[in-house]
Amino acid sequence: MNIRLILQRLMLAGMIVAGIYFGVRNLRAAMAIGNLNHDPVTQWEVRFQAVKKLLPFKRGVVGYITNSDVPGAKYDPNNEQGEYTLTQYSMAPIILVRGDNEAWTIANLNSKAFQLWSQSNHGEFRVTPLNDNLYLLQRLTP
Amino acid sequence: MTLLSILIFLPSILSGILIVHLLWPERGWKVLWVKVFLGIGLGLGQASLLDFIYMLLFSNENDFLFVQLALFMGLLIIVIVRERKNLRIAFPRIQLSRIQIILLAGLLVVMTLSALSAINVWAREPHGAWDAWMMFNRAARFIYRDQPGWLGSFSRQMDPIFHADYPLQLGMDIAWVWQAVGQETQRVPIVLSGLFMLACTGLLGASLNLTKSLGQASIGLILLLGSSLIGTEGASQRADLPLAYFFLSTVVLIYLYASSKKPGLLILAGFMAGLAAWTKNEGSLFVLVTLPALFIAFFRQQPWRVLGGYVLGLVFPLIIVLYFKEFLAPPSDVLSSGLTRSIQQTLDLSRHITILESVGARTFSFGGWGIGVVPILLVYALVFKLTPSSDVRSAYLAMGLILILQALGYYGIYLITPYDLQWHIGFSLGRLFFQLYLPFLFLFFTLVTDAEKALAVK
Repeated sequence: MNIRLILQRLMLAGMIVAGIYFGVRNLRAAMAIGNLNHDPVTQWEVRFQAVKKLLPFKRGVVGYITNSDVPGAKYDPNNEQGEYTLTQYSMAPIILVRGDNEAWTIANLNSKAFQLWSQSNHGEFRVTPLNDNLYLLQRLTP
Repeated sequence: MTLLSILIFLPSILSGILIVHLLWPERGWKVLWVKVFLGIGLGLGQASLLDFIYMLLFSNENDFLFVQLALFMGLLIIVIVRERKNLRIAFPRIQLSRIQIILLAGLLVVMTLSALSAINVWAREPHGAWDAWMMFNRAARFIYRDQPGWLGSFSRQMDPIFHADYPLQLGMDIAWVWQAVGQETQRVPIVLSGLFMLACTGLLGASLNLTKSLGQASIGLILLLGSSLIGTEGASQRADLPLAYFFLSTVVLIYLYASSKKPGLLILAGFMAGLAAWTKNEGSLFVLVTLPALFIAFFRQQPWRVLGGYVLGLVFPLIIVLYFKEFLAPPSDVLSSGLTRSIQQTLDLSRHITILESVGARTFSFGGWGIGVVPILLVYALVFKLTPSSDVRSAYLAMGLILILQALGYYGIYLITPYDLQWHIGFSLGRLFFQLYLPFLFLFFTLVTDAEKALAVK
């Protein structure tokens, strides 16, 4: 048996073994993704169901503010974009735009941030408090 | 719901297989498998394109399933009429050599592990990975949840991070099946990703089995499925796997054309390239690079005729893509730097160094096999030797040019990206490698000696 033939057989055997080894490793990695009973996207959607019911239209543009829009409020910049995209996904086909310039705005504020924001709201918005640090703001002044 | 979703996709898939058969009436079991796996993608692609037109015309209606059923019935009648004298089924006698049995057994284990990985990903992330729900499943929701107002999905007010400019291959397919099922269930995008995984894996295997050997197909698939690219990345519901599938389909069809000179194969290749453009923006670049690649590769074999057939297949999906881009989609963020800034960025040497360093590092780590798949393939090529067939030299050239030009296109996009370069590379380079990996694997295993021949086992 020549050396090349031995190398070829070894190569094929090695590829099969490596394929199985990495297949097992990939499976274990896949089993470590997230949690079977706790999908954050689904949970986020549940959180926004009340907002959807209260909005008077199915499609349109709605504002979106978070702690980062309130001067003096603490926020985690790593979560900001993730929460915004999750909210947009949950609220579709409503288009979410940053800020509170629309007729309706979703405020995703913790209690401290909401207190700070309330101090600057001088009757510009009608506030409907919802579950889980969510507020629906209706602009009263143009 | 999973079974119902599969059943609803079935007429589209069968239509795809029949279209492939009408344009490529070659017979034989090996050919049949290639047709089946080409047909899955083509069927899903045509359904998405036709649903786009349907929604433009009848956005208040929910009857697109009947359009697909009518298309299937029409194609079936045409095929039966055409094939009525050839309707003999001769089952092949399967004789496997020892090396083929060993390789197939290994493949079966690897395939099972990959399928289990996919099931885990689907169960744990039913909405898919970040990009999947943010772009493709979000687009489907915008279309499905307010059908009469679906064109509002492409509003300029949408934040550019959601990429409302992305073509609608996946979004339309998901939305029309939700309409047919009558509810918004995550099983539909999961089934769709599963179909593309099956089509991708099947096409690579079937095409290598047809053009080389069963052993070659098994090794190619062990290499592919042993990585996390199909089981995990494919199950993530992103568009990179469907895009890679359309790239692979195009190069496989070009190869088959070079070896058989059947013009129907070129039409199919063009259609698949068009579907790539309907799947992701990188697909439009692919369309652009395939044209000169084909012209150069077939320069001595009536290049205009080759291009003519290819463009004939390309024209329908491309018209839809161009209509979408011109009249509906908001501008693409990647090309938003402006000419002056783009030139400045292109002349910035540090950007070139950053990109090349990242590409170099990724080349020797990509593939999910610890040391990277490129060194493994280099060793494999040395051990098994390259034995390119002189009959399909133009196909090798076309495939090589397509891969090089596409990679250069990605390089150019990194140069002019308006985003932070390091972030953009980190976010996307692995997926760009993946898009090119499947056609590269096909090219590689068509060039290298068959395992059966090398081991001289009949």
